[in-house]
Amino acid sequence: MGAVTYPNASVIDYIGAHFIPVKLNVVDRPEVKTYFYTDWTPTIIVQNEAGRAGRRSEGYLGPRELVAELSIARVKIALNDRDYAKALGLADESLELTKGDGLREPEAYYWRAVADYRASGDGKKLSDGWDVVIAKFPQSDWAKRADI
Amino acid sequence: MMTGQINWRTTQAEALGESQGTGRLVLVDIYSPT
Repeated sequence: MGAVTYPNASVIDYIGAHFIPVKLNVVDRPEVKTYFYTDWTPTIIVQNEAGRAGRRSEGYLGPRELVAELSIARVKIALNDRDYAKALGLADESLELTKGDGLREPEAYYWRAVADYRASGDGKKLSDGWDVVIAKFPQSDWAKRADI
Repeated sequence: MMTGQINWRTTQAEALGESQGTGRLVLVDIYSPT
């Protein structure tokens, strides 16, 4: 991540705009593995300002994948913090930032539907949004989760 | 805005403290140097 992903201009800009980043070296500070309950690196955890973790990713991510991952993290934390209008706005942004990411684009559509439902209280927005997940990404795990 | 490089903090407490009231989330990167 340090050689390719973090020097990337899009990554620098995205992290600089939306995150306070902290880097913890498990060789110098082995207690970090215990504290964050992980035995593998790289591990990325996104927390709200109360320190509550809303998203975790383990394993290498390239620049596009990291930005996509972080865009979903922002949506999830806004949902968990019950700031639904914010979550919906971030979810729209996430659709753009995950485009072409086979793993994350279907998930972004899934959570966009959830945010739309939470923000409006209209259950049809959830079912309509999940229908889009099923239609656009029928082989994805998120289509199966939406197919209830 | 291009910052040139990521301004990494070195402790979680520092990052959490800075995030207060900013609307920015804390990104924790746990790594081992290669």
